[in-house]
Amino acid sequence: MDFNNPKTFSRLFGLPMNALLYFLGVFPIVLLIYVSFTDWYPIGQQYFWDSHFIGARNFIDFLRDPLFGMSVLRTVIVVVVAITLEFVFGLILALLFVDRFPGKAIFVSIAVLPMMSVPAVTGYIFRMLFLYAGPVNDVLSAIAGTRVSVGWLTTGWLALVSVILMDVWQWTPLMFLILLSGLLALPQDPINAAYILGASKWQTFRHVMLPMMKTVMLIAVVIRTMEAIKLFDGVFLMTHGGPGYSTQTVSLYLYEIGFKYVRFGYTAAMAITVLLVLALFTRYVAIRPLRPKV
Amino acid sequence: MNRRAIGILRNLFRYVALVFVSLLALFPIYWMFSTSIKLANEWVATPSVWFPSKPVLLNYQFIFSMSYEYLIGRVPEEAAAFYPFSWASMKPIFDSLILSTSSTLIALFAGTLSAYVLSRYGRKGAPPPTFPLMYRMFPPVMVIIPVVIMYATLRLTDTYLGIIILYSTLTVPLVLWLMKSFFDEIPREIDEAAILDGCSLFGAFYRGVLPLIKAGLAVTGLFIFMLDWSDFMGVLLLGGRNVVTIPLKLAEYTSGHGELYGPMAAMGVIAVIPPLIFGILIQKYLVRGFTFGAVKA
Repeated sequence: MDFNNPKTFSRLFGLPMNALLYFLGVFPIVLLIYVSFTDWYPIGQQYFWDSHFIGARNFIDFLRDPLFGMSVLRTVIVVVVAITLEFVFGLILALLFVDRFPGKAIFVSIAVLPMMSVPAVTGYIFRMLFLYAGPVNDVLSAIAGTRVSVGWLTTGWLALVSVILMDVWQWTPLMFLILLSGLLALPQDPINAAYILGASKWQTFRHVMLPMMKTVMLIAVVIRTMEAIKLFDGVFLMTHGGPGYSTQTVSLYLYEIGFKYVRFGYTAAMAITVLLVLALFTRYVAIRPLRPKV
Repeated sequence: MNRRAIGILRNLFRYVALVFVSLLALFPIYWMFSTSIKLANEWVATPSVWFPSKPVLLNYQFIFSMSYEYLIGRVPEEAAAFYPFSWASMKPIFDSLILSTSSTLIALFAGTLSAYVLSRYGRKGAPPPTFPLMYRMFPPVMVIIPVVIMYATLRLTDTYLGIIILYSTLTVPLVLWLMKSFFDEIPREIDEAAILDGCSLFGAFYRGVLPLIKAGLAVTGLFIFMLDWSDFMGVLLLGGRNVVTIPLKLAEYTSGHGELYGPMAAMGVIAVIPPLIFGILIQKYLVRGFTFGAVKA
């Protein structure tokens, strides 16, 4: 072994990470594919090799499962609404912070605090905020003049609204930071040129700055979309998917089927399908703007 | 109106907007903190209590006093009188520290080596660059379900080793891309000069480049620590009895025996302190961290 040979050297250096990725990457996926074609139910059969091969029945079953369809729909609603709000608020915030002013550093630090909070804790905080006797209803009462008691967490669609608000509170700062660094990195010459040629502030923003921001905006939206699809911790602590099924996202549904009803075969079939769809999405849509130039 | 007046007005508008935003950002955190120092009858009240009438540390004493089973159905006021501090109650904090620290170190070690290879030698030998990226993008439930099945077979469920491996694997792609962005900022001439001076390839890395990216290593380490510290789903699915981290303990307080809002808030405050401090320390690099090094602030 010649460690000064670049090939050997790079193999050796790549080894630890490859080991991690293959240990938890390849083997479990193979196992997952096998289990998805069986009726493995760990309470009945202890090991996966005790289970019976049942062909594609799991896949057919879950595609007919209305709860699964609804959870996908809910996830899409949460992702689309939350990302739109985060993008709009993030952009407005970023525009507030473009030029220098006294106190800028402090205000930036305060504005990004939410994204550093532990998501599970955020879920718990918002649970308290949206209680019947919580501060959100207090504020609404103060505005309305009479006591309002909105059952945020006990009414189906309002619970979904609360979940969206939680995501918006926690992750608008990330959108803001990405867009701000995009705005600050813009070349100044075209902007100054536009002003000299007599463009108004809005025209400059709309026709000069926005087109140059395209890549950064795309990155911000893609990153947030990928993160939002993962949504679990906060919802789990805030509503537990309830009331009923009204805030059950895909992640929560998989958790429920897999760990409450321990139908591992069925869960595996769902997980594989979702993974495949997401993999295609990642491969052909999401990864493009992110792919570093190697 | 002259130009000066417009300028003042605009600044005024800006500051009003910023104060409003700051209030929105800070209020939920304030609410948790204030609940953590409230007496039991003020946790949930109509109308709710915005300022604790008598700030107390009872909720903190409660979570550090005794294992949870002894406290079912008791309010903190009693608990503090009857139960003294116990080391057993520190377990979630120690577990969180052990898991986050060791996973961060492993991920940092494995990811940095690969990042160096990727930055200097291209794809040869290094892990395929987009495969780990996708790993990071999948919802953790889907990544963890097969791991749960595998761990059940290998008897790694609810062990420190199993969860450390999981955390390291989930965060190592981020280390790879972050560290690569730091390595790319160091000119190749440094390596070449070191090799000309008689260093081996390893020496060029260890004595030439590594000392120059200490800051990058620290930033990446803190960022990964924040992510591991924040994990909830991993321990929910793979831990439980033997391994109990802070977020898991927090979830335990909600289930069953009525909601212990005060102690939960106290636990929440403890949970968010490290990420808040680290986050502010590496604020400049947060964008780079979350965008896999694609956007540099």
